Amino acid sequence: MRLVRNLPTPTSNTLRVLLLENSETDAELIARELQRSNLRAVMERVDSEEAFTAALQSFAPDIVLSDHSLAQFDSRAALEILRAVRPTAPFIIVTGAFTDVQTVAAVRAGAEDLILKASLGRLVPSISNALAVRRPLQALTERQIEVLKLVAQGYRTRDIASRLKLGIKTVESHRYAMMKRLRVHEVAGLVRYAIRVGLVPLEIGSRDRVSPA
Amino acid sequence: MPKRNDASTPIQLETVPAVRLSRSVTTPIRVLMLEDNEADAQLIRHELHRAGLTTVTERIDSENAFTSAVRDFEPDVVLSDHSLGQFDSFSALEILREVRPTAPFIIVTGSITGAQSVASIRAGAEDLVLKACLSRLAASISDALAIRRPLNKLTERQVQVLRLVTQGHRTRDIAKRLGLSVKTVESHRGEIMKRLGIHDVVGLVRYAVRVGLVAAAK
Repeated sequence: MRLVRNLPTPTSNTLRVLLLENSETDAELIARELQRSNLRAVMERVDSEEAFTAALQSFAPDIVLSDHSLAQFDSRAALEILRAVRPTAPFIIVTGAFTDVQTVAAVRAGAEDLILKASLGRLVPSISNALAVRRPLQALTERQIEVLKLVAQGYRTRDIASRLKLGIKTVESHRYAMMKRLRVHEVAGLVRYAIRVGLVPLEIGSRDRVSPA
Repeated sequence: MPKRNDASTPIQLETVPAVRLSRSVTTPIRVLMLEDNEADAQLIRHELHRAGLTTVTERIDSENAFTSAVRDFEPDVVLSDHSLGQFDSFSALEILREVRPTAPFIIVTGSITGAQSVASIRAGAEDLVLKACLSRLAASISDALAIRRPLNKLTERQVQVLRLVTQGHRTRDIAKRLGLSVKTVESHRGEIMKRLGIHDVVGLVRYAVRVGLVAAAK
């Protein structure tokens, strides 16, 4: 499986898994689950906000597995940071327990899945599915992904051009190329796809440009 | 479209008999319960009453009864158990979306897996409430109705057009499908945006996905 662009060639077949987890024992169980599968994965474990933020840059994960709550940090905050730094990487919550309220909030915020540590057998299929849903994004350049995100946030071409310091014509051509590569031919489809992969949250918040009156 | 919960009629929080009173007094919320256990239905009614929601409830427990009740009972909200013998909440949600696309669908269940929860929310369910946490239910219903209040400003036709627009259909296709002229569809589109206070297609799509009028892609 070729999973991400812009990685050094020797590792381009390897799935880079960043694990936000404060229990070493649980991390081992998760590592074992990945090893048992066909996924070729390398995993790095972090357990603080600082280490998480640093690892997003230095480790460049393809996917993040996150415990729901860690002393000073939680999955919600982690997801927000991930979306800003690596917007296309899926975020799967792997936790001992979660409530119905937390489940709904996590999905609306853009989490891909929630897995109980008691049901780790679901982990590998969930990862495969998360990557399959995002495969079309691999056809896009980083710039096109940025444009997609801004379009789905409700910015118009002119705003996008001025935000990214590009010409309007350039943004238009990015939009066109992006739609062609995703094989989505209207804005509605782009937005629904961007929501599905968590590029924009399903919950319509105050920080968005778009919200109903 | 139900005119019962329009923007000028907030949900009343005082307890009054659950009958259809004139709109100036209060407007009961019509709650359709897809639930095969009458004891659980009683607990739900009790909880709504205790929380001070004025409701009219109807309980059904089969696909046929559900399909007719969605038409005849005209629910403002559907509370659905997750699995009922031959029928489940996913199928129920699909039926509801075709017939009463604006009514929120809340899953009220004894247990549900993480995978089913995630899939339900993606499919457009509004919330999941465990039967062990029924005290959350009234607030969940109120929130669900509040976020849909802008939809009460639309006619049934406009809701249809909104759904088709957010599914990605072009004005010309929508006109053809609904047997309307392109001009009429254009004027519906303009009116929808005006009434919802949302001025671009992106905003319409995000709102429609949030209220479950359409699902996120794929």
